[in-house]
Amino acid sequence: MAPKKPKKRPMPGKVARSTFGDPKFNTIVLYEHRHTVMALGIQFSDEPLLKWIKKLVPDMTISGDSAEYISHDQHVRYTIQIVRTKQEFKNALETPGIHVVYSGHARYGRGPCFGLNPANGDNWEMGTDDPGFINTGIFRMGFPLIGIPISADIKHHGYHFLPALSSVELNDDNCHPEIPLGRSAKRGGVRTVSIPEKLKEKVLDQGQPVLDGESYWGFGSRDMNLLLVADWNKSISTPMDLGATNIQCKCSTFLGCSTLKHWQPIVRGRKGFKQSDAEGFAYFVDRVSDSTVDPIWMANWFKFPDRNDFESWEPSLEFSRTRCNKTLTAVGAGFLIKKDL
Amino acid sequence: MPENFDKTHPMGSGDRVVEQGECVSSIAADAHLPWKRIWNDPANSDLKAEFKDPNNPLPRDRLTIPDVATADFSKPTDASHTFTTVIDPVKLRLRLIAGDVAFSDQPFTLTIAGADAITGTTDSNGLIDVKIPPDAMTGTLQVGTTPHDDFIVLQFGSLNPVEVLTGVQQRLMNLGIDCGPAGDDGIYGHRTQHALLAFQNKMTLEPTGKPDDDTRDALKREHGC
Repeated sequence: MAPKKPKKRPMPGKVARSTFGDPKFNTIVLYEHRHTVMALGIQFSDEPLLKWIKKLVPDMTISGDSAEYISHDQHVRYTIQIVRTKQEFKNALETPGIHVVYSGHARYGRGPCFGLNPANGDNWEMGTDDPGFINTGIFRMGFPLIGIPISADIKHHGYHFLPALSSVELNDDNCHPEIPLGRSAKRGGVRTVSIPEKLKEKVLDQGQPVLDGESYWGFGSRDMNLLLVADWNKSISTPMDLGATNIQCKCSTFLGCSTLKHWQPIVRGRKGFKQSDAEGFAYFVDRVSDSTVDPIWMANWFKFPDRNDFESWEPSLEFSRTRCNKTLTAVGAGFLIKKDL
Repeated sequence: MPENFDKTHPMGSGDRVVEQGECVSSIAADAHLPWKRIWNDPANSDLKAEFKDPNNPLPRDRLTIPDVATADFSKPTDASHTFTTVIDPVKLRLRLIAGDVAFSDQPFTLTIAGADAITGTTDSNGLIDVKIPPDAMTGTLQVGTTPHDDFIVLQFGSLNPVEVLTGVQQRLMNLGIDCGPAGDDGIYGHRTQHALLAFQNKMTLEPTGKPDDDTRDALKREHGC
């Protein structure tokens, strides 16, 4: 027997007409509308996120890539729109008053990547190109040079990559803050390294062959990191990157792996997206995560028990974060959602 | 067995059965009559005495529609003449509240199928006061200026009298007090009881949880009709 579908709750709106000169009126108390754009990165683009949220919030209604949930306790009407393209992600970040969630890989600070799954190898990393380079590919986040662990990413996924030659001058402006510029080489700081023999064929052409003895920038002790040019082979997103985006959304929640480490310095630091009063909230993840956190995050936000319409979102977001983290801890997920002020 | 707080209905004995969404104004427009001719017709006195408001009789109530009055005019046959039927204008008067304060000085757009969109700005009390087509049954009210601002689907003439429980529930819901998933089902269940208690507490009325006369009066006052 099929499960019984929950009935959509009726909304206010039944009103009386008035005749001319009649002083009577109707009153309707408006609910606050909170809109969330959930941007699905390339590797999550076919995940049924709305269905997962509905499992936790059965009263939510789904229509294609959008959903609605009305919290009478909060006096808030929540809507969700799923998007899968770079342009839509940019538009969402630039829309005042909304909540933007990114679900996908953080790419160590290179940024979100959009395209269609399945996307193995370079596609997983770079996105599936389209002629205008508007909707797919990496949404570049801002630092030209990013450190990538060789064992964890380059070998594992088999990408082609563009390492930074040791002739490139390193400084605070072109290096992601995770690159330990001030640390000595003995303690795992930045130093010149050679490309491992097995990876040489994966190195992209820089106008010169990868010569024996050519040196590149690297760092790390046990796990060697290479400094890569952040857009890998060629930028396909210029100029539509974070630098050309005027972030105006009310809250951003970046649920990709270790976004606290990889994206927080960019979004809060270099980009200067700050919290002020009841605007500019930002949430990040502290370690390697997965997409199961997305529905828990949204469902707990919907379940905040008190009225908070037309008030700051902070209490309800913090309620969600606390409940989310309890669940993540209970199941041994190994990561938490962190709020960044 | 649920407790029944409603007055007896349907009322009236005329031939015209009121349908969902209709009121005396819309029926009058349909019959090409001024609404007062229907409302003040002695045959409709029972309904008038009970509900006191021509704009919210109940579905299934029965109205008597008086005959259309005829008039003789003497005009020359070698000229064209214009005769105008005056139909009483019908209005929507709607006060919007957001977060317990008037939704004042905010732009709105009211879209009604088959009619031009009505745009304007709420006044300092959050009031919208606009003419609508007499036969309009529904409209979509968009408030605010950006796509993620809210909209409400309005059902004109669907507000039942406060004397019946559905009318009580509809007013509670319009005032932002949830009556549960069943909404305005006319059944006095625990969700309606809790909604009434919430309203009574807010208005510092005796918390009976029942739609007593004081509560109905306060609802009518707060809702505006």
